[in-house]
Amino acid sequence: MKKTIFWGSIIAVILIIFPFVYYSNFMINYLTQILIMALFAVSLNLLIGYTGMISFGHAAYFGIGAYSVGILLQKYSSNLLGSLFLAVVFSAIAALVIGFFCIRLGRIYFAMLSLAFAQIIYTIVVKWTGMTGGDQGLIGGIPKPPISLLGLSFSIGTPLNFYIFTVILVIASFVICKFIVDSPFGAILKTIRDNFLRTYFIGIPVKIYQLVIFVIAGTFAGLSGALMALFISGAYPDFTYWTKSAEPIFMILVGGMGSLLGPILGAAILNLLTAYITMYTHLYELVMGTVLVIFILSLKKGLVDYLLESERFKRWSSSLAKKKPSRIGQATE
Amino acid sequence: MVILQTENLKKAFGGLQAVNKVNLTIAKGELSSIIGPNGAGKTTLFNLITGYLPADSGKIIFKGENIFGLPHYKIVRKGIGRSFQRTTIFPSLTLFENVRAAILSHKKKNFKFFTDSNSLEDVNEATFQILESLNLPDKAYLISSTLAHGDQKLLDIGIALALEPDLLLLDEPTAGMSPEERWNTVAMIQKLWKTRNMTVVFIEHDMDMVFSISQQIRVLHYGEIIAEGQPEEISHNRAVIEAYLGEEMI
Repeated sequence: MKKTIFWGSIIAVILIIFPFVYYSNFMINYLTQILIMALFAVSLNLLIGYTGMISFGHAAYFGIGAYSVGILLQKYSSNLLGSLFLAVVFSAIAALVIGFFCIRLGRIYFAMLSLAFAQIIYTIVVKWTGMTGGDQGLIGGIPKPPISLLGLSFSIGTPLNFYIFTVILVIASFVICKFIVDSPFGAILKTIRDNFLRTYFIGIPVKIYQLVIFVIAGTFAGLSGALMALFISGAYPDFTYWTKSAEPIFMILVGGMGSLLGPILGAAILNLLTAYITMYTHLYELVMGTVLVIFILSLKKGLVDYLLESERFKRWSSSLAKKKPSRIGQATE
Repeated sequence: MVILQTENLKKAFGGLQAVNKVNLTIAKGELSSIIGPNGAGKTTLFNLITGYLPADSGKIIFKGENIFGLPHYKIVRKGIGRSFQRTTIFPSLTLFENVRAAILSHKKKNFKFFTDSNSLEDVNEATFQILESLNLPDKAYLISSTLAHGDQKLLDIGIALALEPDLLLLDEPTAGMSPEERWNTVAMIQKLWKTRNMTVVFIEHDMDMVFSISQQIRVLHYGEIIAEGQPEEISHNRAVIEAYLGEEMI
C-alpha cells in the first residue's frame, strides 16, 4: 500500500514537473485529455477486466458527472471543489440505482440493460432542454472559480493549471483503484470474474460485490466526465450516447484488461492516433477502424497483457524474483 | 450425534422426481458415501443440501437448525463445504489465489478495500497449510488452468477445505483420474478426514474406493434411498445388487 502511494506520488511529480521542462500547449492539452479518458477507461476496466461485468452503458455516469458539474457551476454555485464533489456523488447515486437493476441479470443481459439505462439518460439529457440545453448541450462556457483551500487560492483557468489539477485527481484515483484491486475485495472480484458460481460456494454474496464495484466504477467515470466538462468548458449529449460508452471499451481492448496500466496505455494510444490521423485525413473513422482490427486480430489481446504474458517478460520477471507471500520464517527466493 | 438430517426431501424436474422423500441422517464425524446408478439423484441431493437448487418440500436440518430455503452462500457459512463433479475452480488465478479467496472469506476478511491482500500473514499461512495438505505447495504460483486434471480436482477440494467446513460434500472427487492419482486422492481424503475432524460425504462410482474407505454407504435409486448400512451389509443387499452393483460383486 505504501509502495502504491510512493509510486503514485513519483508519477504525479514527474507529470507535474514535465511541462516546466518542456512546454507546449498541444502537448499539455493532449496529456490532460489522455489522463481524463484513461480514468474513464480504468473505471470501466474495474467492471470488465476485474469482475467480468461487460457494461455497454458506462457513458451514463461520465455524462452525469459532466452535466452535473457544468449545471452546478453555471447556475447554482461558485464553489468548484464542492460542485465537483456533488457531481461525483450524483454519478455514484445513478450507478447505485441503475446497478441495483442491472446486476440482477447475467452477462449479455447485464450488458444490454446497462446500455438501455444509458440511452434513457441520453434521452433525458436531450429532452430536458431547460436544464441541459438539449441538443446543443451546455454552451456558453462553464465558469471555473478559483479554488481556495487552506487560505491558498488556485485557479484552474489556464491550461497548465488545469493540467496539474487533473494530474493530481487522476493519479489519486489510480492509486485508489490500485488499492481496490490489490485488496481482499479485489481478490474476490477476480474470483467472481472467473467463476461466480464457485464464488457463492466460498460464502460470498456475489451480487453485493457486483453492486459495490458498479458504484465505484460509476463514481470514477463521473469524476472523469466532470473533469472533461471543465476541460472543454461544456457538456454535450454525445457524452451520454452509446458511442461514448464504446470509447473506453476500445481503449481496454487495445491496452489490455488484465492490469490497470492496460486501459491507461490504450487511452494514450487511441488519443494520440486520433490526433495524428485527423491531421492527415478526414476519413478518421476508416483509418481508426482498420488500425483497431489489425491490432486485435494480430495480438488477440491487449498490448499490456500481451507483453506481460510473453515468455521473455516472464523470464525477466522471474529473474527479478518478485517477492511473493511465503510461509513465515521461510525465505523467499 | 447427528450433524445433518433431511426429512422427506423432494425435488422434481418437470415430471421427473429426481429426489423423492429422502430421509438422510448423517452422524457427526462419519466418512460415508452415496452411490447409485447415473441419474439416481446423487448430485441433485447435494445441490439441495447446499442450496444450489431449491427443494420442493421437506426439511434440511444442519447442526440442529433448519437451513431449508437459505441462499447457498449462507449455507456455506454455516459450515457445509462442497466440491463439484465438473471441476469448479478459478481458472485464470494461481493456486495460491484460488485457495486464498476461500481463506479470506472464511476469516471474514473479504470486504476490505484498503488492505493489501499479500500483507495478511495469517491468511498466507493458512493458504499454504491447505496447499501443503494437498501436496501442492510447489505449484502455488502456477495458473490453475494449466494444471493437470487430477491436480485441478484436488484444488477444487482444497477450496472447500479452506472454509474449514464441519460437513464436506465431495461430488465424484476422483472422476477422470488415473488409478494412481485416484488412490493418492483416496488416501488424502482419509487423512484430511482424520486430522481435521470433519464429516465427509462423497459420491463415487469407483466401488473399490467406496467399499474400502466408507464407514457407511447409502444407495440412491430413482431418487429414493433403497439401502443404507455398512459396506458389508450393502454388498449383500439384494435390492442394491439388482439396482446397481450387479451379480459379480458377491
